[in-house]
Amino acid sequence: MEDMVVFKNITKKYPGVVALDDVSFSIQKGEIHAIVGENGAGKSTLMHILGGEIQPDGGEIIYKGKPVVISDPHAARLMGISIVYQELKLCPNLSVVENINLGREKRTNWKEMCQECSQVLQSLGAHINPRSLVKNLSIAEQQMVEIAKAISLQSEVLILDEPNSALTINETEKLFRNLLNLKAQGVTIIFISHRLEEVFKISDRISVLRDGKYLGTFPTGEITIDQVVTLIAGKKLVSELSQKTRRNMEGNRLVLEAKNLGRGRYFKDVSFQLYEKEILGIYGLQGSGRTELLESIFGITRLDQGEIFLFGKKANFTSPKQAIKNGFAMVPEDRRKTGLFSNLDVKDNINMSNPEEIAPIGVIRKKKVVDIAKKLVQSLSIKVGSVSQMVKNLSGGNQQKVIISRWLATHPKIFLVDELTRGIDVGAKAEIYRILQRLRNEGLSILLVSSELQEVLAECDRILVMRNGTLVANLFGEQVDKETVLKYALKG
Amino acid sequence: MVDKENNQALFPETVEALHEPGQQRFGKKQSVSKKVLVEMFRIREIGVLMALIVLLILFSFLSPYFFSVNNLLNVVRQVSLLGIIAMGMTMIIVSGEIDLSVGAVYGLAAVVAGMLMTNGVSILLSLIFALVAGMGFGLINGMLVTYARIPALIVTLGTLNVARGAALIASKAQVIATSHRTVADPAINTFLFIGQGKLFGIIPMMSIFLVITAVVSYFIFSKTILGFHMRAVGGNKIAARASGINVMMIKIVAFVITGFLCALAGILNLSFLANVQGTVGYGLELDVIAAVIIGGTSMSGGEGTILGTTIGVLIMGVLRNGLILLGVSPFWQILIIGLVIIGAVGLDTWTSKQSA
Repeated sequence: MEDMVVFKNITKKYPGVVALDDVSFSIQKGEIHAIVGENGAGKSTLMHILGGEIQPDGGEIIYKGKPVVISDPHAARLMGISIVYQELKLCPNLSVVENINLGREKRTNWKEMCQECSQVLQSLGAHINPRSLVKNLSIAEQQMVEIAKAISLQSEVLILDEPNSALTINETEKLFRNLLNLKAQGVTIIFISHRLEEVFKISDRISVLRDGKYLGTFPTGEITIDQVVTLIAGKKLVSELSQKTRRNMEGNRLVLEAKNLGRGRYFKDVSFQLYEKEILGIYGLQGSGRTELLESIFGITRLDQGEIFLFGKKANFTSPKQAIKNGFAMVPEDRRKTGLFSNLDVKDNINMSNPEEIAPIGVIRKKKVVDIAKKLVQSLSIKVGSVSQMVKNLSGGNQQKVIISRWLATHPKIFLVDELTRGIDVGAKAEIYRILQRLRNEGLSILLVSSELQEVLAECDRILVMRNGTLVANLFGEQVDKETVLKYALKG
Repeated sequence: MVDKENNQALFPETVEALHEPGQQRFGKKQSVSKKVLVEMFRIREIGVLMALIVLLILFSFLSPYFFSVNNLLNVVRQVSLLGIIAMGMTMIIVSGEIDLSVGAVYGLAAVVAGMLMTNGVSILLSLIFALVAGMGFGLINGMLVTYARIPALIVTLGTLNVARGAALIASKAQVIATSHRTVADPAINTFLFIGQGKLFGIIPMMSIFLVITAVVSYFIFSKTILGFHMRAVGGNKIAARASGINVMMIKIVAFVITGFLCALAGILNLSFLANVQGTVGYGLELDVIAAVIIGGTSMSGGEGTILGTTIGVLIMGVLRNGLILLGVSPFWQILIIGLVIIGAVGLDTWTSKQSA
């Protein structure tokens, strides 16, 4: 078999992390090649390099036998490499045909464009009107349009980054039939997925990455799912991490009970208990519904079904305000988007959720604001020049501590944290974990959602595993190691 | 180990914070003056305040009539209605919305008050009705923007026309005169005094109202939780909700306050002119928005101060007054104000880039 793409010693470093460490392997012409690995293993980084979105720090790519420099996404497209990203990059306000021809404006014959477009769509078995607007299509149909766009560019290499995380089972099957069709036409397909069963169903060969390192490529028929899980997890880390003594908290007072929670297509039948002085982890891959679950508990979005009980009393909230009044606090997944006020300074950011304290009669007591901020800045050792410094100028770790301070100022009983340490350097991470353990020992109940397995294993007393919107495991004590958790998260 | 790493990571930050003055002292002369300049611009209102001072000096030299107590008091009186409404507009824009209906609501409130008092209703009651009408429009604007989720630009473009149309229909496009002859209520003298009178025989009552409005607005906006939440909502709506702020309520309150201030300005205008017609306040919204923007308020929300708006309003007034005294044609005045708006925002963008 001829090599289509060869990665030679590809290295990519980011401050504090090596995203790709000397990765070398090849992708053959006309195969479906799956790349698997944990969150942050470097799969997407590698594909972004192939797609020209980012440049490697070292190594080279050999494409069709020749070393190439892929300087930008347009260059990649001209070479015949197309990427369908996890987040679709279509213009929702344009029609299907316009989207497919975007960036190739020299063609003006509308009728011809439409005809060609419907031909491509038909060859994919997708019954979509080329004139319908993209925003009116389902996610699966939009995905088809993305793929059609790639095909109509005469792509020879098609990269799919988590293509089915938003698809239903039927839609996934349809997608797979199309991929097999394309393969028959000689297109090389690179397929990134967390769902191992599906990887095994569709791929010819599987390459495994872990922590930016390449571990090997295996013909799909010659390896089992369990073997792949073991590779992804990595043996060495298992013994190292299961040292944490996990206390059984079920003797403690029951704080929060969730019964059959469900919302839309995000999650369903989620039930769990949270005890006093417990850190309960929810581990799941991206798109497993963890963040959506947390948002519904906190009242940001409404539940479709199910009941939440707080100390035995019903507590289905319809707004975060209610949740906060009842002793909840939440550190959101996306700090910049849903946490920080970049137009305000540190003390204002800290005193955002305690209006009764800083302004009992509506008038702000400036001294109180400064005192509270100073106390928390000191207590969490936030590195700031003064509490009047703007938060946008702080490092990620300090910004996160400011948000934690905001919630500590409300004296919460239940702390919901989502991706607590995303984008934070190692030192600050350790500090934040110490804060977390301190809070737990002070009597808080903490629900920690994370896609970093290491974090969940090291910090939690008990671990729930979420997959495709349902809880699939409740792990504690001896049961907990990296391999077990991953097995539940990855396969059914 | 971890601690050490952490300290290292934080080291540059801390050092910079501690040694900033020293760096300035030992830095090159050029960079020192630049830094001082940037530092000054960091106080948000400094830029506009300097612009105002430059204008004052410029016009004082160019026109012998400009720099006199009478003329300057006159400038303040001329912008007082604009200024009163601009205080509310600042709150709305900082909350992340916009209100185009202010000029029309101002006109309608004046028509309501004028018609009621000329038809035998007591002056006090007429004024209350006018204020309620103004607040009612604010409430409708706010509800449509928040609960019905229609963009503010569209909602208030709609209510602009509704209010203007209502004012014209009610007044039948006739001038309604409010004088001793048409109003029976003996309080008419007091009423006319609030617009036409002068405190101590020199300070126009209208500018007193501007000052009171500015002070109260400053208090609400800078010293109460309401103003704090307005800045939070405009800065990051999603985070504000997730922090437990009732985002919709904050926005509605901003609209209602503005509606009230529009009506107040309408009443003052009625008193000042002793007559009103349905077209009063036509296009006023654009002047109001211009003054707020010149004052340093960001159209994307979250940034802006009452002090800045006050200065912005005064700049508008000084520009108009000065240009008139210099005999510049009204057409050129319009053009120059346009350039000032762009210049002010350009300066603002430049300074915020410097301090980032």
